[in-house]
Amino acid sequence: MKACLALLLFLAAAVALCDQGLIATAEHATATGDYRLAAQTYEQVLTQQGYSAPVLFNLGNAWLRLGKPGRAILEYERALVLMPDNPAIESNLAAAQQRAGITPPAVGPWLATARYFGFDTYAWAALAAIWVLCAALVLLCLRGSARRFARPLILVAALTLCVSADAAVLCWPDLYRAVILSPATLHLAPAQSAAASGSLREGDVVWIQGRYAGFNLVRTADGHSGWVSNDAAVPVRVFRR
Amino acid sequence: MKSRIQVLVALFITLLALGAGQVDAANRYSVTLDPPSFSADESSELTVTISGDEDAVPIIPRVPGLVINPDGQSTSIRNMNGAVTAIFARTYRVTASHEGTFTIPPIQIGSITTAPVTVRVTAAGTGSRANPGGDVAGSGSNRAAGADVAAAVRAAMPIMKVILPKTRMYVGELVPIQIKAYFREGISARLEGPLAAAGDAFTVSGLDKRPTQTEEAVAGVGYTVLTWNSVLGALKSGEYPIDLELPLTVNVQLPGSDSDMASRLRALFGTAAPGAFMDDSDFGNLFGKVIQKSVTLKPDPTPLTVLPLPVDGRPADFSGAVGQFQVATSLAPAGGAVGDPLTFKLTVTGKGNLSRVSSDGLHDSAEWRVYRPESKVTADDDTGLQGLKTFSQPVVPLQTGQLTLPGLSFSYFDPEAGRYVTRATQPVQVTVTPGAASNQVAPTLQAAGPRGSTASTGADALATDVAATGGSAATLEPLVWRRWFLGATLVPIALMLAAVTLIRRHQLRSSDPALVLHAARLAAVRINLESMAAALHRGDTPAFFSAARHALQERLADLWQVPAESVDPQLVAQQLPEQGGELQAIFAMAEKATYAGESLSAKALQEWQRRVLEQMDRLEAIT
Repeated sequence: MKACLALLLFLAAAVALCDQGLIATAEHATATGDYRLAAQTYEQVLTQQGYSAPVLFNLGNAWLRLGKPGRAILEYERALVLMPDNPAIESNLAAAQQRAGITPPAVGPWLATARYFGFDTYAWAALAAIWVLCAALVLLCLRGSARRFARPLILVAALTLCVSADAAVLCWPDLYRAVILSPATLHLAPAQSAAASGSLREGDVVWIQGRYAGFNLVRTADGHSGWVSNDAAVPVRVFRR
Repeated sequence: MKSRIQVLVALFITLLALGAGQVDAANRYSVTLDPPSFSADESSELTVTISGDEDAVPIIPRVPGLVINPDGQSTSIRNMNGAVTAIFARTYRVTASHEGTFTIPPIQIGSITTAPVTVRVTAAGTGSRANPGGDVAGSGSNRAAGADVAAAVRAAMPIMKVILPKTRMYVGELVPIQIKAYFREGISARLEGPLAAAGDAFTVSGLDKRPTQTEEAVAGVGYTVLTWNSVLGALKSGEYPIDLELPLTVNVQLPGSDSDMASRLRALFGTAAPGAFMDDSDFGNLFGKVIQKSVTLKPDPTPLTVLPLPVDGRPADFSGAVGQFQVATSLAPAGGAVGDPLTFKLTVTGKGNLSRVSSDGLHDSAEWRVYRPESKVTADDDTGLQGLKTFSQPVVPLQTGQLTLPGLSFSYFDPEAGRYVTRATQPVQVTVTPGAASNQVAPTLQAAGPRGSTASTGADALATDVAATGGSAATLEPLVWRRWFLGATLVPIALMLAAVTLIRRHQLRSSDPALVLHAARLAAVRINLESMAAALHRGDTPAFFSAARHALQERLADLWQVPAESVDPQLVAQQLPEQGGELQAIFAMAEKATYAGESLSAKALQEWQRRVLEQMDRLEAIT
């Protein structure tokens, strides 16, 4: 048992050291202007150790310096999922959109407020509120001093649950955001031979409505819908329908 | 036609395969040693000849005192009266470490072993070739005298010299060294391996390079000189000779009739008997008499003094560099905007062990973000003794204005001066211009607050890269789509429902008077039965029956919903006219024991206890 634990600790330390080495390599490549190597190395870090906002941010920078604003926008959007409302990420995202010649869609005040925290933050808050609410309901059934704590707890938990649920509903479409990595054609049907209904620029953000046979049914910011190939539209988060 | 060729090829292959197992039987072998007797400073040639269709590799046994090394092999074809035979000859050079008589055990060739061979080795300088003997033939005429041979061998031996610019050096110091091997004119020699350094006191680099060849005259004698220009490095302090080894085979040509070539030809054609075919003095004189001698050439063991590096005055940043060096720094480009990567270079030039020159380079500061330096050595000469080592370090300015890159210091030991020297570079002033949206903040996303703060930007108007750390999320899948999240949401609801149900049930039960009375009576029954058991243990008959009666009263009162005091034998007879006999008996016995003071034995009490418990079980069943 102890040997297994020691082995696990050793492996964890080795993986951490390996990742630190990769990050150092990527940083060095960035400093020397080798952005392609930097991008490749940061992608290796993501593959090996999972998503991290700083790594995604640096990866976005590398792509942007390589003249790939679409990839950069995708990485910045992902970084914002993990670290919402971060000014550095938003600043570079705006720079990437500017280079791609894209005007970001206007966001209403409620949605802007809701995006102050990420969707997952609201999910966590709602989960915590449910636990507290359930505990408070149990306390309410008891006699004595426990009942005195129950009512304010229920009030706070219910309020939190309502706010979280509202914000989550507002942010819900963000779960289906996707970024166009290269200029693509919107088709009327999920086939390359289908008639075109519009075009998408690199870096455009669309909302995935469904999938069929290697095509995504997407809705654009101006309300148009159409089919675009899976390769062209990459979801910011994991898509599931 | 084509099919015929295929059939012939197939037949040939089949015959070859069938014949492979009989190769040894079809071959003939002979082993010769020429000369069979020689002195310890000479060598002899062992020849294994295989005449037949197939070659086979002889397995030469080890003989203590003898060194038998392969010397070559040859193949020839003999046509005798139309019969063609292949002859495979392998020659081995035999030398002895001391005088004596040695026996080379049978040599295995394929599945056949040869007869043993006896070798007589005489003392060095006695020249056994003058008196051939042994059981293998050798020629017997026109031999050189042994003493002449030894003298000729000694005179023909090459000489190695090491030329050093100094006799004392420090540990870690590199010194140019010239190694010369002198070969007397008329002596042919063959290098059997590269010049190599032995021992652990020194390193000699550059020995693998091809030596230069010149002609020199020493004391009127002409020599061919091979020269290696190398670098000597001292590894440890003390007095040690420079230990170099150059393996050679020297061919010494002596006057005489029996030649090495003749013996080779004799072995090749199997004329082992003296005086036969190749034992021709004229033929021997044609080639001359040649002795091959394997030697390892070494220089004179003159010790070299290696001094340790002094401990006193050793700088803290000394990394082992020994020599004479100069340092300089540069920055390219000389300036830039915030976030622009610049390259800072520290160049160490000079003569010495450049491989030990090291530098930590610059370190992170509030003004600069620096990355690890990379080093590169560029040698100015073949030996690598002189050159430069460059440390290139990317640096990124984090602030605008007139920034300073601090100076660096580098320490080394100067063996000429015999002291440590520290060289320092001047700080570098850099003008850093602001980027498109420059603001100075710590370059981390974590440090940049969620609102109101901004990030530092580079020349490309981008917020600069941040200190990346490991991953924080294995996936970007939303929480609400993960199964465990759904479970974590349902669990508190289920727990809450279960807890509320239990609590409400408990509260309902505790507020019903009938349930409360029922519980109290059951408790009274349990207490009285325990008292009954205790009385039995004490042998207290009145207390036993008093407890038994009360237990039955409480149980029956709970059953009939009447006060316990009202339960008596009459009520029992009324309520249980058929089954109440036993209960009445218990009540009657309780009356007698309580009021008449009847005392029963422990065994009788146990029997009464059994009867009471049996009635309790019956009442429980009725309930």
